[in-house]
Amino acid sequence: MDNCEVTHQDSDEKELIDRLKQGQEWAFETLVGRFQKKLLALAYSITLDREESLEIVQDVFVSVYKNIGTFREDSGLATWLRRITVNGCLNWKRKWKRRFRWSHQSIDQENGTLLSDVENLVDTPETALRDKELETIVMKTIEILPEKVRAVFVLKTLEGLSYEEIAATLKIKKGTVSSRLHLARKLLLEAVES
Amino acid sequence: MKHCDNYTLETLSCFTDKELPPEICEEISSHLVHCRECRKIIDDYTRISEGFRRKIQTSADSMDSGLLATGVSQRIKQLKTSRFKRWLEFFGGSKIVLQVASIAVIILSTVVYYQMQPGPIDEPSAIVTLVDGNASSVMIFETQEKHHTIIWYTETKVAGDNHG
Repeated sequence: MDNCEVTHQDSDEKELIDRLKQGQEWAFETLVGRFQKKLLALAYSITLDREESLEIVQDVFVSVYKNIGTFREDSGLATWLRRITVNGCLNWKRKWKRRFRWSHQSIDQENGTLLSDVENLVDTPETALRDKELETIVMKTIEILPEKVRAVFVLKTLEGLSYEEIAATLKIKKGTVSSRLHLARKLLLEAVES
Repeated sequence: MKHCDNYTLETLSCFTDKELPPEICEEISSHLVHCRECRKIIDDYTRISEGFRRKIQTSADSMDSGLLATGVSQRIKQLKTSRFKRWLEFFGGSKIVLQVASIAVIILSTVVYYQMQPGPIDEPSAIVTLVDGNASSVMIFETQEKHHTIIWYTETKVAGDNHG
């Protein structure tokens, strides 16, 4: 991405923020359209629950609508939205209830198709099947990771943030980021190898 | 999970994320050329990350984002309505506020009315009487507002007048 493109994006974002602060409805629709997929993926990867993810992301946008006036623009809009989403996921009110449910329900039931997909893929190429199997194992292991460890893994793997950015987002030390990532990968590796 | 003793799993994890100083990164890169075990670990880390990304992306894509947009729009409408209701309740729900507001309007209108009236004129309202003679001249008149009487008196010296 060249400098010119970055500047254009910056001015575009600045204009969007100004319009949002003025309470223009189309600006808010633009914001939702621009970020909803990304935030849904982020919320789902931490909560592993579709309904909750939709609810959390809705809350994020409503919160932005209410608080855009207080947004100081120290960070970019995407960073701000990411932070609200991650906090929303980690403060997830019903997480204990859901955790209890997870311990009694396998991921194929949660996702509807995951394991049956693997069973139905006997005739597909071997690599595709291996990929599906890997995804299944990874998701099952992710499910049992402590939420804080999962959040670090998600921010690294899905969002591609640096250790410093993850530390700032989650308000933890850089060393903690490294050790949590190591723990997540170690558990995932063990699961894949077994 | 087999790996050589040269590097810990955490170091290899940091290497995957490019979070190590350049000189250590170079050192590990050279090591990977002939260490199959460490290479496998790095490959597995990468495969796991890719698998996770793929799965999350597929799941997120299958989610109804239209439902999300509609939900957000409904909640914002509710928010606007509830703000308006609160505003109405504040003014309509409290009789004291209404009474105070009415009195304020009456006082304000009265003040504005009097402010718009024309100001006093700096001229006498009427000359009441005028006495003019050889010896003196007296003018009596009243101011418009306070009704003070002002007497203007002049005296002319007459030739041969000893009292002058």
